[in-house]
Amino acid sequence: MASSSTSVVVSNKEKENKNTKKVTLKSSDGESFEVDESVAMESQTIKHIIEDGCANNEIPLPNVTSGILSRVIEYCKKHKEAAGESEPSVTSYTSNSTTNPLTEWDTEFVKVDQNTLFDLILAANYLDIKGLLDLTCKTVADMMKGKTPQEIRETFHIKNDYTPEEEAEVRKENQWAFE
Amino acid sequence: MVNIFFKFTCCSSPRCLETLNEERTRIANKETKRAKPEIAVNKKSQEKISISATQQSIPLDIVMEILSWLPVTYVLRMKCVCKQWYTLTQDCHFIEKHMSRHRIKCSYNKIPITPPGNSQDNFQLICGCNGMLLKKRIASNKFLIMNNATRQMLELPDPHKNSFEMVSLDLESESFKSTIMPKGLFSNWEKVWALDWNGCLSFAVRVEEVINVVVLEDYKKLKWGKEKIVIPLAFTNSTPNLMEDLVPLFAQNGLVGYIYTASSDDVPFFNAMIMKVALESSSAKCQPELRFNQEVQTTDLKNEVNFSTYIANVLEELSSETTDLKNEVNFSTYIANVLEELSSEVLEGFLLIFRLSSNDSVKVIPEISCPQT
Repeated sequence: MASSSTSVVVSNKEKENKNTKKVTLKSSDGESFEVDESVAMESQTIKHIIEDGCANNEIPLPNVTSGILSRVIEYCKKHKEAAGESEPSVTSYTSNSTTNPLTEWDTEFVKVDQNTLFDLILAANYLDIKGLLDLTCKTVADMMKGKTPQEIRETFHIKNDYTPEEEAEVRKENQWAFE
Repeated sequence: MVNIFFKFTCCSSPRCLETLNEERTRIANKETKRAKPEIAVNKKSQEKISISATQQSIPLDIVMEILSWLPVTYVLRMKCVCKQWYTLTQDCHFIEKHMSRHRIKCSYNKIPITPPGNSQDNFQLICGCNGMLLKKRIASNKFLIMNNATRQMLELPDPHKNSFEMVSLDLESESFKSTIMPKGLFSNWEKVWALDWNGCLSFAVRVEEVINVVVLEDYKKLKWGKEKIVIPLAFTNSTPNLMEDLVPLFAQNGLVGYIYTASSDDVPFFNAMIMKVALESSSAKCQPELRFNQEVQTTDLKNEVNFSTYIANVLEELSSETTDLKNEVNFSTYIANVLEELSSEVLEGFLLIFRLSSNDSVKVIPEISCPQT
């Protein structure tokens, strides 16, 4: 792109350099992943680390295993590509699914076992990736709709601290919601 | 005796935040005791979370995120899971988050006025706001606030006789506080409207060519503003008779919005206007400048398509014209609330309520939160 202004030329060049800049992410089990900085910055947590100058080109992520990290990176890459060269995208899950081209990809992405799904949620939370967090939470929410309270407890490893009488009372309070 | 736990739409006061943080810390500490050895501090939420491959427990933050995607009926079912979740569904932050995901689309919502299973008292519907309905028991003259989505009800305290009383509901404690209004504030209370003046409660009344506003500056100490704020309506000189039923809607960031109803050739219509007011520092007088003026026939409102298109156009016009109208959400919500009074209909036991989506670019809403017939 031809430009007569010097400052524009300089900033374009900077942009180019920034785009090819890479960072290394290290999972909790010691595996290293090299990714484009712009892809890594889909994570607000990583973005802050980089901006604070604490990166040193290798960022340890003790909270995330390699299996999960590789999936997260896949998600970020895909969404970054889709967003084009603009700033990290904010995927809104309230947008109309028929106009969002990534919906199908996302749906396939979350077809994983429950443990992996929860691990993805925790990773998305820790790494602060809104789109992934929303996607995974929404998936779990949908899955919960068909379950009984006992099944929910099993899924979330929750102990029932109601006495049978208390539980019956709570259920009665909201009886109409069960119909 | 069944305890009815009940929360309104949202409460973002500092006290509420504190309570939740305390609870979160308490719960997080409890959780980490049974978590596996590997623990890391989550930078974002200051909570310690377990990072083992098979999760022992999901942090409360996450549970809140997940539950916020569920429609109201499912959220209510989740109360049975455990006591912590019961409390969570009542938490104001959760409610706020939930509401942000479930804006009700612009459409007719048919909502049964007397939910099945409740007592057979006859109710008169007064008005609605944010999914809450204000009802009056015809027999006993008592007022109730009802959350139509969760079907919970709260009874208002009886007014004292022979006085003008302001009843306020403290959202944190869900208790009522009654205050007798200062004498002489307004001569005719029938013409007084409550107005949101930059987040403070205020009362506004039209007195001939001006709107007088008195602001409750400190709600805790019940301190009213020393002077009445006077907003001249000079530009309406040409149509004085059309200002009969003026309803001030909101005042925010220097903009005052109001509507007035009238009829011409027997066709009722209303006009929506927004004025920019600059409060002069020396006195409480405002210099208004008309920024927006639109007329709509109420017959248009019967047609859903036209209505939503109309409001969409209004919002578009507003956002292009007035860069300082930061809060189109408030404007449309207020329009919706006022329209409920103007054009809500009680039809064969159903209430037709008009609602707007807060942002017209939101096309699909996960679920409509009010129970549908």
